[in-house]
Amino acid sequence: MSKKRQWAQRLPALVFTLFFCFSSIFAFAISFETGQEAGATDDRGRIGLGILGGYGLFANSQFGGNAAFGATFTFAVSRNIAIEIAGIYLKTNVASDPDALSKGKLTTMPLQLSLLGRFPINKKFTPYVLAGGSYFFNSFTLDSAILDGWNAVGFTLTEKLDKAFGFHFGGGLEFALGETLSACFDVRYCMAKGKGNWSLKDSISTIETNGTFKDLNLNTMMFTVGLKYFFK
Amino acid sequence: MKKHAKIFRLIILGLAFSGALAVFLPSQSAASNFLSITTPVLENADDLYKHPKIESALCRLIHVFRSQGFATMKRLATDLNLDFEGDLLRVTVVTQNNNTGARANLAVPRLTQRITTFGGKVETSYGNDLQSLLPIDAVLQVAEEARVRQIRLPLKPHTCAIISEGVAKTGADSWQNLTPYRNQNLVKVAILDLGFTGYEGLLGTELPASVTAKSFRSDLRLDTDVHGTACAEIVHDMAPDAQLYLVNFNTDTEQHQAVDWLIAQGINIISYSVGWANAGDGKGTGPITEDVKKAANAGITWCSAAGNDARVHWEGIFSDTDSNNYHNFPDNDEFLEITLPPQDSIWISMNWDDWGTWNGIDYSGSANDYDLLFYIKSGATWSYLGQSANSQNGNSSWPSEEDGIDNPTAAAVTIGLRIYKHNATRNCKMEIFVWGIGGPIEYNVPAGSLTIPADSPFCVALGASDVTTDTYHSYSSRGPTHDGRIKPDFAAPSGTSGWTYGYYGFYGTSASTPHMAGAFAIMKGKTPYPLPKILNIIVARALDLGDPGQDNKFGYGRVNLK
Repeated sequence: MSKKRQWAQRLPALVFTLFFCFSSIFAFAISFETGQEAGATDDRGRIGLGILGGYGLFANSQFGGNAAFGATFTFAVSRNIAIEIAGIYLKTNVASDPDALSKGKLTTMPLQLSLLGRFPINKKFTPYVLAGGSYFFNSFTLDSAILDGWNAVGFTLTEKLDKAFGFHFGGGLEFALGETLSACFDVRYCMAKGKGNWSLKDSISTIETNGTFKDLNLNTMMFTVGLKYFFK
Repeated sequence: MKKHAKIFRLIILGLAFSGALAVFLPSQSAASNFLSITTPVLENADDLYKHPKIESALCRLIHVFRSQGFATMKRLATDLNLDFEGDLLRVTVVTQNNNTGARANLAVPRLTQRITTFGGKVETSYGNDLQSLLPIDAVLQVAEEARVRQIRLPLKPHTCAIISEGVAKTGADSWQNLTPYRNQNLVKVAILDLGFTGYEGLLGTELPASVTAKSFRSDLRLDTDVHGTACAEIVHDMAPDAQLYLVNFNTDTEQHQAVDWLIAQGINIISYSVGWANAGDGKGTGPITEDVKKAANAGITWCSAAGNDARVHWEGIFSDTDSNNYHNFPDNDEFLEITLPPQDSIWISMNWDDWGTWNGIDYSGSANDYDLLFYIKSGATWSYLGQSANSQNGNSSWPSEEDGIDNPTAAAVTIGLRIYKHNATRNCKMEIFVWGIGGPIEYNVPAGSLTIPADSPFCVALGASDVTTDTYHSYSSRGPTHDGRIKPDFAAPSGTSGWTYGYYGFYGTSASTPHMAGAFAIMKGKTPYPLPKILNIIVARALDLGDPGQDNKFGYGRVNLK
């Protein structure tokens, strides 16, 4: 892989690292001042359930991007810290990659556990940053034309993408629509490397050839908006 | 055909689009780059396709031009492979047949003048036909001329791409449209043969656009035989994406050099429609089979013709029932009779099972000395012609004899072969091939008629099955090998079509072998399987013909990739 391409792939991560650091400092500074003045409420123990929708863009040029949607569960540990569990569903078309996946559809569902740093500016606006670990439930469906082509000559082709661990970070803005309802604007960068295997099998002789692929770039930028309902 | 169908669909779509455009934009007239002349109108739907004087395809073009403009029409015309000179379309204007005599003499210049008036020009003429360049919107005007009988597109020759029927028979056609899976490498197939006459003229049609051609002959000529060209055609038909190496030779020494070179080139598959006699023990050793072994060790799959010699082969244990040192064929006959046609010649090879030890370079230890004697029959009398009497004394000649006989006369003659036991301690198993006649020869024994190197355990040997009926050709050599192994390994289509030998004109194991090589090539090119696994897959898929299971004609069966 060329250095230029490597940097192109790293750029989103770099931007968001910087964004994460600066926004944390900035938000904390604002929150510290305004929070004192506004007398913001203590959110400890507050639980929220939310839904989100948006767009997920893969860093891997073979994958492109598509609509993403999911759900969140949030638990406020303190005024400034919360834990969030999010599940996001993203399905995208895969262009053929001779070293990894063939043409088909990739479905990835990262289940994310995040630590949120919340920095309420006032009762309405709460910027936040987040980081955490992810577990990617991945599945891949080969293009039917490819499958049919091999079936026509008596071969069975399979490609599988394993589940994967990953990390993510990002930030957003929570806007209180009421006492118990908030809107969220969220951007997060998810990092994961996928691995999987392929197999081509002659249905007559049962002779099989197979192989694996690894380090498949599953990095994804998620842009979402959502609604959260707080129970307390 | 597919391309034409696509083009036709484009035209239909274009017409549909233009029809819609005509409804919604009735006032828009087509932009014209041509002379401002009154244009007759195509009034109804039939005019899209039918005009008493204009070929239908031209009618469609006119309509597309009027509804969608010149650029769209020209693009469609170009797709149809029609000729333009600038903005003028090449057509043939056919004059009326009743223009005879003086009228005929006047018709052409007058029509030429009219065509010029309409902005066109006549390029050339022959008889009633004027090959002309016309503005598209002048076609109707020219058609209205009384002297014009028809305006049509010029007839054009087509290259006659001849695809071997063996492609469909073996199911290779099902593989050709598959996208290669985890395999980015081109498959290199060498056709190792005697000559490639005319191959240059087939590049881009019957052969790939480019091939690597190299002669190992001392005179460096490639145009010594068409046989290799015909074989290369079949490989290309079977595996169009394979990279072909056309390599010829004329002697064993040249072949050794050629094989070394092919190994250095990283060849994957060799198609070898050549056979030898007296070049080994028939058990897979000898200088020719050594090349096969060397190639196999380099990872090359070597496909070898079994030979077309089942009808011109005899073998048997030397038997001297009357103790005169001459072999007795059945009924104590000492002569194997061959009818030699007028002005024809034959070549006779004899060997026996006393090859001694093969050390990788040469045999040593052949000490049972037999000779081959030739006679000609006149009435009931045999007259001695000559003999081949090499000295097998343990460290000299191989156990083989051979010679040719020519018949320069205008009448067929009967030749007799006798086997003489010159100095032998045992009765050896003798084998005779008669080259140059169709056979069957007297006392013909088809079994064991494999030519070398089809006996090699390192090659895939091919017998010939009829492309239409799947029957095994009577002349196709068959096993077993001299050490009892089943050969050939497969049968493949013979009697197929190609440019070189014409329709259904290429018969024999020479035709079968490139089908097999092509089968390997297409599977190698489309899958990530290594060649040994591909062989196993082909074994499993072979269509079992002949005796159930593996046999000495069809081997595992007729090649079948489906």
